[in-house]
Amino acid sequence: MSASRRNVHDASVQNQNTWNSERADPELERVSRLIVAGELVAAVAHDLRQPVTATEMNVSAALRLLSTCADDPSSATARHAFAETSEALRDALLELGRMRAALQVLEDLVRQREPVFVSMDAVALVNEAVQLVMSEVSARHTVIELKIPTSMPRIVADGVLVRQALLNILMNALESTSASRRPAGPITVAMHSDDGAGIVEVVVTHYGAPDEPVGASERALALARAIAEVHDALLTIEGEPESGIAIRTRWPVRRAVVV
Amino acid sequence: MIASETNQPLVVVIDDAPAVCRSVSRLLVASGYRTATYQRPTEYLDDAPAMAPGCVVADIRMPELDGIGLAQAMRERGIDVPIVFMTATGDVETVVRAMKQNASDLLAKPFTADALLGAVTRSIDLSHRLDDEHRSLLMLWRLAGRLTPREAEVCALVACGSANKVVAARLGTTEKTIKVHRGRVMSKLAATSLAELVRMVDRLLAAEARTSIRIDGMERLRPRPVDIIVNSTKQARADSPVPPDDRPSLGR
Repeated sequence: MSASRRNVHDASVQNQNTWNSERADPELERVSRLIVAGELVAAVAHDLRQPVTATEMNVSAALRLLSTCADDPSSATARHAFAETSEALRDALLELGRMRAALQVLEDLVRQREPVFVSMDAVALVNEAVQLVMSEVSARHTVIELKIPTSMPRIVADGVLVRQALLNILMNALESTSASRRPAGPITVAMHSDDGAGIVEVVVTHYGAPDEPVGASERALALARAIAEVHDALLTIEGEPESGIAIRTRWPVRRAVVV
Repeated sequence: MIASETNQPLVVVIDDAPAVCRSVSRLLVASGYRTATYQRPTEYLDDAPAMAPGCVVADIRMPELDGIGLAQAMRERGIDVPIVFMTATGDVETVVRAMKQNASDLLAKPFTADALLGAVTRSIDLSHRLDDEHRSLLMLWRLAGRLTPREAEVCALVACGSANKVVAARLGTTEKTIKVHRGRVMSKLAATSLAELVRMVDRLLAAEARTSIRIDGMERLRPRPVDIIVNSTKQARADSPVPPDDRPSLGR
């Protein structure tokens, strides 16, 4: 095993030890996960309604098209109907894939398991997290502005946990913005990398109320902080509502172990 | 915009989710309709003046301009087409907002094929009835548009039940002149009785908020004599209110 490989192994063991110590109260951690899952159920349900609708329409269309072919299957009309039926069923299959992905998100959120550290595309993780909250963003009449480069260094992380941490941070920003009595500005999500320090930084900035949110969303942020610590990452909150409150996470790249 | 081609009724489908847009259109085409699909409501509004759809099927929650905003914009532009709204939220606030925009139907996602086709069928029936009403009103506008301003005034006062003598006094002319005007009004409007004239005026009053009619992709403006009839009738009724039952609309 090469030195870099050993480093990966060592880092993972260390991280798993940290994770275990963080789980002194596993029931609390599980409840925190469920709270976040609960907040996101509405968003995921919305994401499921679209593909379920599209699948119902596609399959119904396919059945109707096939019924037109019964009289003369070799006619030009029938050939067109067969082609259109194939398209409809292919689209239905794609929509089933979307449904499966949405259900997987929910399952990942509520399932208890040990962290698995692998090389991850940080940009993809951020984009996935943003995508998951988009229906909630729309429902709250808020806007998310993305300042994300097309490519960034990969990070060694547990993708499910990092995505959950980013989700928690975004939900926290949404809650704060909704609770604010001032006209809310956009929530911005920016990414930077510092090649020298080997850091990928994700900054979520919002103009929400300073004392909000409380309760579930506050616990969600605490869980995000715990996940960051498991990854030797840092989560800080700085700024004022007038100039923007920045929730900053710095994820180590661990360049030496990138595969 | 993507349109399919047959001679069947045209249904406009608007949803920012391409998969929903495509699949709803596919089902409608398989059920014998023509469709035009849009992912941006503003693009439909640009094309709308040249289109005559049977109904619009639109998602409520869309970026830039949502379904409710689309319905408002259509009304402001005189595009009188029934709208079937689709919604993935289904909350009370959304339903109330949609109904305030005279939604023809509201479908909560996920809906069934039968629910969609039923809503579209009902909306197209409504569209045909609206079209008949518009054509009938336009015909009346054309007839009334042939009246001179003075004849329009006489028409309004006579329809309010005023005797020729009263009309003459009110307009500062002779009873004989009013008789002549009245005859011309009846002739130009092709009214065979006073009762029919009253029904015509009532019809104009019922549509007083409408200043134009869009038929076959063309907008027709309300003629000036109709404005005079509407305003004079309202003024006359305000000056000497007569209970509706006592008006000379006998035989209605």
